[in-house]
Amino acid sequence: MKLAPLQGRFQDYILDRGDTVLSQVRGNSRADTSTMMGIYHYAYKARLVECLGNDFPAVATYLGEDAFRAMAEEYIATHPSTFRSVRQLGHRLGDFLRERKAAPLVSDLADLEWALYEAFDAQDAPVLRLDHLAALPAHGWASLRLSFHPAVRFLAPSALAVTLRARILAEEPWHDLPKGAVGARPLLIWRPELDVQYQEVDEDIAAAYLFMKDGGDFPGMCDLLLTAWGEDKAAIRAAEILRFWIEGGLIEEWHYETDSSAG
Amino acid sequence: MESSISMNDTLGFGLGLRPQHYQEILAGSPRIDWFEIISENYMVGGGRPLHNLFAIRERYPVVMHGVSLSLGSTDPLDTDYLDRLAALARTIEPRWISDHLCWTGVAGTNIHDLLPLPYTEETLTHVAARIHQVQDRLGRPLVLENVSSYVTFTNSHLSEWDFLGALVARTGCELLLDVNNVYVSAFNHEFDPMTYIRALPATAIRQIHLAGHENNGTHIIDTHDHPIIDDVWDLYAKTCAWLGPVATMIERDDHIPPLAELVAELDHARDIAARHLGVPA
Repeated sequence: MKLAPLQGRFQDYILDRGDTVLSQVRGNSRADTSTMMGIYHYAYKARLVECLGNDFPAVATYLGEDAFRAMAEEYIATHPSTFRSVRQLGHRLGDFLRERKAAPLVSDLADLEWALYEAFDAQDAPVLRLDHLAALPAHGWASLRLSFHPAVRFLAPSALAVTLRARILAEEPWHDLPKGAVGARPLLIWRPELDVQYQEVDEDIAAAYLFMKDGGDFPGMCDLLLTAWGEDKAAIRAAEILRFWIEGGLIEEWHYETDSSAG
Repeated sequence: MESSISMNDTLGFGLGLRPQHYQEILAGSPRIDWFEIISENYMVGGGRPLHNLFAIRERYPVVMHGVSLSLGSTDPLDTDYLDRLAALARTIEPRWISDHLCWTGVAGTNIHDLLPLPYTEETLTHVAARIHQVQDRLGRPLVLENVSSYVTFTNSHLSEWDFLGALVARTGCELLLDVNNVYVSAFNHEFDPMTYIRALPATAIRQIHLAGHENNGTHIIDTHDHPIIDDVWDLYAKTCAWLGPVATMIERDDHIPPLAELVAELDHARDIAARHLGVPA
């Protein structure tokens, strides 16, 4: 048999899609072919379930060993890895849990763990410092746009997911948390240097982040804050938010029109 | 691409770099000559993994060891992966780059396992062509490791050692001789491990791996989660006697013990090598 169909059959055996490879391979005088092929079959699921458990420790603890394994095996069967690195395996787990109609808290927890994981080894980049602000010419504010650091992530999970994860990882009691309640505070995740940080933020900060991330300019961000803060305080609030982002290390760089007549 | 490894290329005795040991390595000066990294673990944008790798690279020689090249797969070679591997190599400047004689999946799927190949002329031609492609991209010989296997193919007409020898002859690639894998496959496929080792082109062997495994009586599973057993140490001693000095490294991928335990295991390897190098077995 040619190599390509042979590899197809071998992989089919591992993925529970057929056993025709058994006539093409052999074990040894002590262990038959099925036993030896079973090593590959077992190792595939075991390795990937373990990987998901490492990447989603709070989800694994919350669901419990048996339920997590069953869920993970179903996920792997639905979304076999197409990545060179097993590190990417869990990228659709949050969506999968939602499609599977898991409790919202579980999919929120998965989204949170994945976002933290992504931030952990996201691209390095320099960050803007407050003293750079002094170099911004007065006319620059009218066209100021921001590029956020590659590690910045935004989530709108339940506040409960954050609390739950913290308690689980600290091995503190968590079963008494109200399972059904879903809060609504948005979460910003970033990595100032090497350690990932996250913070629940007010709705106006979340709205400003999403606006600026999508290419909005600073005057537009001020307008966005008008409703909540009024004309007197919107610009001040916008400056506070900008300061929070810069001091936190969330901004990689800014852009503005160098022509003072541009707007 | 010609392969010629001089005595100066022998790095000594190394360990696999694992995150559990970063702090201890950087805080002290453990008796480790070099580190082997899992390439894929550092093919990321940034953050703590690369930061720690750069810090360790400043103090130790590093070699890159990949698990996802999928050299034997009939899927096209993943050129994006290869580009990222080459980019990491430019940054890290490893002494050499290795991966496995295996395939990891077809039809776009990655099984994330080191799957065995049938040793046929078709496979030989296929793998040799891909080694050439990899070596052209990396600008250096690829170091190819033998894997542990649990089945053989009914259509194989070459032994694994003859297959590896033919690849070296055709491509100029070098070899990473995993002594534990030879032991595991020898048990599973009932051949003499020293027949395997003696048949390899000795001058192409760049590195040796040592590791632990799990013996189930009828078969052995290559788990890398146990200390090295005496039989593998004995095989290593015979290998040292046969080959002379070769860079040697201990792999532990699960149940990772404190660094001191692995350093002690590495000292045992040093001791065995010192006592057996060049001594006829």
